[in-house]
Amino acid sequence: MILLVLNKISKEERESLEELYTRLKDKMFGASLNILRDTFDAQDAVSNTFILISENFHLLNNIPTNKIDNYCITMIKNESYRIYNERKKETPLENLETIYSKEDSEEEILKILDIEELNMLMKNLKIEERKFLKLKYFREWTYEELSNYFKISEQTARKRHQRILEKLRKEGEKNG
Amino acid sequence: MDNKLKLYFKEEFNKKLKESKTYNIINLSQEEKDILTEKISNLPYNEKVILYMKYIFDEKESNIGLILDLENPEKDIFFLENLLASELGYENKNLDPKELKEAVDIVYNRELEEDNIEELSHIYGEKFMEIMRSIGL
Repeated sequence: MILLVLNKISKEERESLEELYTRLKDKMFGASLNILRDTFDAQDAVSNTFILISENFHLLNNIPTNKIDNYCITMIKNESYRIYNERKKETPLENLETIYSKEDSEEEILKILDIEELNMLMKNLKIEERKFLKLKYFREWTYEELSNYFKISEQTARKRHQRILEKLRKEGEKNG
Repeated sequence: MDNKLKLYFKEEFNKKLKESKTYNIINLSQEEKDILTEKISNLPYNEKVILYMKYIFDEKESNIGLILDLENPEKDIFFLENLLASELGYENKNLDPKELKEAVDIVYNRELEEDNIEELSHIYGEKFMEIMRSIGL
């Protein structure tokens, strides 16, 4: 794949890519380290971003010269947050195990509902509750992201999620 | 459950996307513009970056898909813009692109000021160097 990409890059583009790499790699590493706080992960973020840049190098031609550095910094930050979220998914905090297991059991109970029942039950939720579920399930926001958006603690975000699922389950039971 | 809820919201979203063609554009008061800026600022980075690509770097939707590895960038953009409109109580209206750009600009520039990125001279590992060599660097 990478070789195919390289064949598509002209000599001038290759030189521009090298120039970009020399000029920005340390700054991109710094930007990534600010987010990831881990040198190995930050290196991964820099290399992933340069692969992406090389695969789509032609797109940089559309960016005004004075915005290219910021464009690359935006890309490295995005990749760093992606790695950060992946890493966070892999390491749940021990003291939240009780909440996790309760959430899981609520989700298990709700599995028996079909889509039509779900449509009915969703109407019983408040706008903010529906929005919370939409961001959690449709956009797959993490609890940390939900907590930042709603300006609540991460623990409160978990509890709110659990409470909404519980409400759905109870409404489902009421409706038989 | 995960898939069912996702499916439910996906269906709801597709319906809304169709309806949105008939939405009017709303102009915001200064107070609403301030709320909009705050809401954009609170978005997760992987959502904010979609708005940055569109409004700061003037990327076409198809290019945003390539560079951010998104399947349906136009849907992602609509979702975010509709989410922001709904935060202001205008779920069935479209925000004015000019006002959105102004708000995204404020958030982006504020972030640039706060970033404090250092150029860190780092000894990169062999794995990193190997990847860089593989792309001709």
